[in-house]
Amino acid sequence: MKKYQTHFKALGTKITLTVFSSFDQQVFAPSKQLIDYYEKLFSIYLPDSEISRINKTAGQKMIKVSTPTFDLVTLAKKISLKSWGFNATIGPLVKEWNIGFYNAHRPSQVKIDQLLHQIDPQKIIIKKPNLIGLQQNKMQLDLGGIAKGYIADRLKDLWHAWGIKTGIINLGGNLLTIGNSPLHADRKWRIGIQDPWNPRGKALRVVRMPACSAVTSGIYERNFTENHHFYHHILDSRTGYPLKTPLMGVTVFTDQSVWGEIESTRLFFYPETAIDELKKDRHFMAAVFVYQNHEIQILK
Amino acid sequence: MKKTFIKNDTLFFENGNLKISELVSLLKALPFEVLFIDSAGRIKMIIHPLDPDLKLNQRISSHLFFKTMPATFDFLEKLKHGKNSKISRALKVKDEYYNLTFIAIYDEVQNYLGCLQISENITEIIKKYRYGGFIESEFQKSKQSSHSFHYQDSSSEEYRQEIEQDLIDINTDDDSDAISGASEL
Repeated sequence: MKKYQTHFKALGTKITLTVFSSFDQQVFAPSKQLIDYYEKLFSIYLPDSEISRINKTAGQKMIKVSTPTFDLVTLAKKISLKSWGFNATIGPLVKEWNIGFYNAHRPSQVKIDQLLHQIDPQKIIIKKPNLIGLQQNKMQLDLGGIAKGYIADRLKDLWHAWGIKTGIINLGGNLLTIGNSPLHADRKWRIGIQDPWNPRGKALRVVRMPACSAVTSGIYERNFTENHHFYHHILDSRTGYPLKTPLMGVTVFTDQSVWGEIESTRLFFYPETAIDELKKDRHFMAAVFVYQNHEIQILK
Repeated sequence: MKKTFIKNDTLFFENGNLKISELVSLLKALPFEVLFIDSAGRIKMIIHPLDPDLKLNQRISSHLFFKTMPATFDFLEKLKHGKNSKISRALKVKDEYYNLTFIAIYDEVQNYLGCLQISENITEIIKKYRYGGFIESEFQKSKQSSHSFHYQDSSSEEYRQEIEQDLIDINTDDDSDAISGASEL
């Protein structure tokens, strides 16, 4: 079965879109446009994005935003208040650590203490119709923990509208498989779990799944070492430091990608306590935990 | 190499010979189901069917039905196109565990003739591991005795758990269609 793919960089990562019919390649251009559109709404690195505008006017006024931004910020606030690990107001810490960029560094303790006072999801003000604001000066939204999932789900909607029956949306390792796999007689997809100790593209395990989202939270991609200390990008909004964890990565299989993002972060923060609740979650399908001591745990 | 041939009612192999009746008895004595599936995916022969209720006449000469055995089709394709010459896979059907082995069969000039599918019910084996080497009824009896042996050692329990995990979703030998990982830089 021939694959048709397009690769490009967006959302701060590598995007690969795969379809299995030459005719379906027509969806690539509008998909790229849609990703660009959402990046212009949600990015904290584009100065004119809606999220950047909200951040710039923190403590001053509310901003009229598009419906996607309004919906995503509303969901982000709701999830942040549940204390599942994801915190939409972690922006000041993320920018100070700057992990994943050349000037990543460990901030001073004084700076971290100062920034922790700017993190409080209760202070996200949401008013219908489509008004968003931050109550406190210097607060900053960062939707990086869920935006890719939301965008993947919207791409799936777009592909459905175009009549694409089968394909793979890969936003830098955040996967969304659509329809039945044309590659295997059992119509299931073979989804690899990235091996954290090997180069990109090498799978540690391969899981057979129906159409689903696969989202991985892991510490092996964005990190740096300073004074012999290892610092990764999953920041704990309670301490201001990277989360202390025995895990290397968690991959969560769900029906919607945005829930995959939420649940992978939740399992990363609370691998013990979240499991029982998650099994009852209608979005949840399975999870694979990879520990730093090379152990693998499968939850389904 | 000496060729295999038939003379009268005897099969002459490289290292011995068998009468047809002996071969039939030998095949009947096998403790597992053996299917021969030809290169077109038709079942040509079933020995010792696992499920006696199966209507054999309907299965023999019929193509394997895709919806009931999708994974099998995957294996047959791999064998047919030379990607594998042997595939072994365990699976769980309701409460029973089975081990399936597919072996590609080639003729003297390496043309693919079909494959053997050997299916063995391994439920009892797994249960034995669960009860420290005993089947469940023996384990229950042993608990009633005055001896206080601890049959369920942790290594066998771990082994059983590994088997059970491996049976259902995880395949380490399949190629992946895409790889999920932490956000790539």
